[in-house]
Amino acid sequence: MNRSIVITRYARALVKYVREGGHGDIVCSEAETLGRALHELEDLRRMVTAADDVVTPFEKKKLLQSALGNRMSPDLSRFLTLLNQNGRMPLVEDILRDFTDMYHRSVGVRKAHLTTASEPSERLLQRLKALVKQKTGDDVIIEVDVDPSIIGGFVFDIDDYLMDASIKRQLDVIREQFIERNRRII
Amino acid sequence: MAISLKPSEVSDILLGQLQDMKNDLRFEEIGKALQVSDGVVRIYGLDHAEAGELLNCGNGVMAVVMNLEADNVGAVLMGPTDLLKEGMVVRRTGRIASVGVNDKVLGRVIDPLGNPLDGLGPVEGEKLDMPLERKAPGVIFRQPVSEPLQTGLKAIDAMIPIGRGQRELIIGDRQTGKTAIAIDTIINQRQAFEAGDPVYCIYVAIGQKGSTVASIVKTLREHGAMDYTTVVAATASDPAALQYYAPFAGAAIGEYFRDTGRHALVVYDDLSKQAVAYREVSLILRRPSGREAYPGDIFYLHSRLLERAARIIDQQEVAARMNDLPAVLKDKVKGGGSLTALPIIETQAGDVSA
Repeated sequence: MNRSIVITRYARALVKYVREGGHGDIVCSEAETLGRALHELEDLRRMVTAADDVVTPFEKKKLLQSALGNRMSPDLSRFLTLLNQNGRMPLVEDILRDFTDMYHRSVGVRKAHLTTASEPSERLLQRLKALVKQKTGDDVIIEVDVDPSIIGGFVFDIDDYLMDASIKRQLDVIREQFIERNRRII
Repeated sequence: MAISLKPSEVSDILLGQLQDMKNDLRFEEIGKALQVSDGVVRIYGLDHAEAGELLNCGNGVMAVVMNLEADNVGAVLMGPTDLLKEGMVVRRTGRIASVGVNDKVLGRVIDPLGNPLDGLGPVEGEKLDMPLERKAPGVIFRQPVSEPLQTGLKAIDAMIPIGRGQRELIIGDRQTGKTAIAIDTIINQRQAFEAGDPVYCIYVAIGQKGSTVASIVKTLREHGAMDYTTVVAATASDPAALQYYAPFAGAAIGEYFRDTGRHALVVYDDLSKQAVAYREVSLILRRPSGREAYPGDIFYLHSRLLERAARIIDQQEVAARMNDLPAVLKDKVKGGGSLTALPIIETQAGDVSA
């Protein structure tokens, strides 16, 4: 069966389930932590996606629990059991990613990411939040990254949109256009 | 005598160029590469991407959207896979995959995206973006084939004459002279070119050896045929996606001549290699396969390609309303043009059913 259909179905079901139970925020933050762990730790990912006769479903779940510091909410625990029962544990990373996105959308929160060359001031962040609220009507969670390699300016992305106003990009654009124009001279 | 460079002159030029650099800021639609494998990239995000749209994967690699799925987008890469990494940002361009065409493409060897391969510098002049995928003209925009296209081979011209706007399959085993017929036909158009009624030729080389393409170009040049010929090449070492799009690029270039009231001839050499490339792309995209693992729409692929060969009606007011016209061509349409197609299929030991 089509992989992406499976993924969205499980994610949608989990969103409905946690919204009924009222523990959405806890499950969502746990899902984010798990997702990050799965993304960063290749060994963990390999264990979870391994065949059931190599790593038993029980062990897979235990591994994920320990990745959360053995404090998993009952809702998420039940969901992972369901995934194990249906043999869909290998898809857990994609399902959790879709779930966090869908959950945020369903409660009207947007996730944004801001990269700057130096630490942004609290006032700037407040202004950005107010701006997003005004444009979209949704609250926003801004993750801040400080990356001196962009030299100056900022990179701001929200959902599927990205504005790159960094000096690095401007230099790249100028470089590309120079090469494009002077190609024949070279 | 060596020309001395004036430093002020150079910096003035550079300053002038710097001043009119384009640097407009706007929100771009992005996705993240989930997985990169064998010429296909799966992208998370890009909720508004359209089928057939060109994506910018960074590092100068472009991709074309082929699969739209519930939570991700499958795109085929038009460049090397090793320049991409998981997690890279993929940007929408808002453009459909297309090839830039003008009269200056004649005499050139280009790849399916219009980039020159012959080392003669960029194709000059303002180019019209002709979409690679385009619907064939409808019934009312066509008229019956009435003019012959001389292949120069007496046996063919006498017994199975080809008309301008027709398509005629050249099928046979390897080393039976299929390419020779096509090349002879192109060279024979020299007469028409000199008589002032040119048939512009496009030779599409798909999955051939680079050396074969080079020797074909040399033959054409020796006979003065490159004056009215464009060679579109996607060699065996190019990604499957480029080989898959090469005939569409040839058809798009042919359509440029056809829709501006001129005659064109396009040779697809050969479509069996394109089918193999399409099979490769389809299998990696996990599309269901049929006989010999070819995807179910392989016949549709070739029929929609060959339907683009047409004789356009010479009533100007009807031709101007042709279906699926690209916006850049709207005010340039002229009736009476034609596109003749000579597809080549290579059979394995005479097995025509495969």
